[in-house]
Amino acid sequence: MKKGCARALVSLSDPGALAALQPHLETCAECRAIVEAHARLPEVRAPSLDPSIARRIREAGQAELAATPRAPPWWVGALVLCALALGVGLAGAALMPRGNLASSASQIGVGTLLVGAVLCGCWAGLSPGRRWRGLALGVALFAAAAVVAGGSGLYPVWAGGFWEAGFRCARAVVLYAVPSSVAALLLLRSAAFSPVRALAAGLGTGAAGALALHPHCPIGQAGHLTVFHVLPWLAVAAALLLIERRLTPRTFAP
Amino acid sequence: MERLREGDFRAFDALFGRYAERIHRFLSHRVGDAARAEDLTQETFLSVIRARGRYVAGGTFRQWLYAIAANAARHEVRARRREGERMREMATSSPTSGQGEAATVHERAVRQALALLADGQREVILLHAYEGMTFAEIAQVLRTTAVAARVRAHRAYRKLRELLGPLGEEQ
Repeated sequence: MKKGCARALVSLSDPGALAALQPHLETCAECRAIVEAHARLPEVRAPSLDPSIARRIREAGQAELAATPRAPPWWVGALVLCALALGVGLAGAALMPRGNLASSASQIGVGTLLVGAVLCGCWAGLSPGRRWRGLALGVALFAAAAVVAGGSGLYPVWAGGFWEAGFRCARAVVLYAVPSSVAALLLLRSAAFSPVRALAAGLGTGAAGALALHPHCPIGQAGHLTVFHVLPWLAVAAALLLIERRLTPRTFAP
Repeated sequence: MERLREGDFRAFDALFGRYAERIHRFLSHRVGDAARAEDLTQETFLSVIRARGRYVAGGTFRQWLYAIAANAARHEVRARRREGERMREMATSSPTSGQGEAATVHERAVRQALALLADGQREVILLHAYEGMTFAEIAQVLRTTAVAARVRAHRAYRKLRELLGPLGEEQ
């Protein structure tokens, strides 16, 4: 788009500014077409809202306000989701027997990143602002890489076969992610569907499952960690996104 | 908006009085169906009440309201697509002004051309041409950047002019 074309576009509703752009319009067929198209739009008459419908909407609004006189701010729901996901993840980590053969420093580092992924994901999923979303996706990505890179590299024989042990791990990730994922689906209905927000929330609740499993699993090989720790976490996020897409939201607010 | 957040109906009434007609006009153009536009207008204002806790203080109410209306319309369009209904056909055949036969040849041509635009392009044109929003305001409503909104508008107007050529000749 040339500089004159950009000026023509922003001057469409201002006859004075358009007149000043006349020399450009005479030489630019594209801008002339845009001005002509804009000039035709007022030909469509504006429909008016039927007074009986307006009355009905006012009454519905009054009833809605009477039913919910106080509206909690959005961050109350976000805090609830963060607390639930983190609580379930930490409870799982504390209750299951410890078996991770990696160093304590590595476990603490990965665990801290997973806690960050839980909090950022759940917060970003419910926040009306956009600035948290990039952070949530970035932290989740970083934490997933840390889960794989921070493994001990060992595969103890007593842990079981690749698929058998792997299935147990994948099931644990999903099971520990379920409570907060269900809560996220309920809370996400308070806003219009947004794929990025749903994905962020799913990554947050999925991270709760990965957090619960991390100190427990004795298998530290990258293949196992990728397929049975990280992929189920991503699958939780994908499932939450797909389910949320099918649900009718309670409101269409951003 | 602060008063509405506290549950003050008069605040809602004042906002409704100021914006109801404009939102209804936007939705009528957007979904191309007068009856659905009325329902969506109700959904939009009920969303304002239900989601008032999501309104961020310091934001512009007008943009927030139009963002809700745009989301409601998008949801409606998606739902109809899932049902296999052709929005474009409906938009071209259903009068939004409620004046049906009285619509002029030119008006029908413009409405038809608008209905043939892609959803995203139509949204930008409606907000720019009918609601008088700047590209910065449109960007806030559609959760995009002002440059992206301007580029989309540029393409939409160009496409509209192309469509108005043949449609105008057909009438």
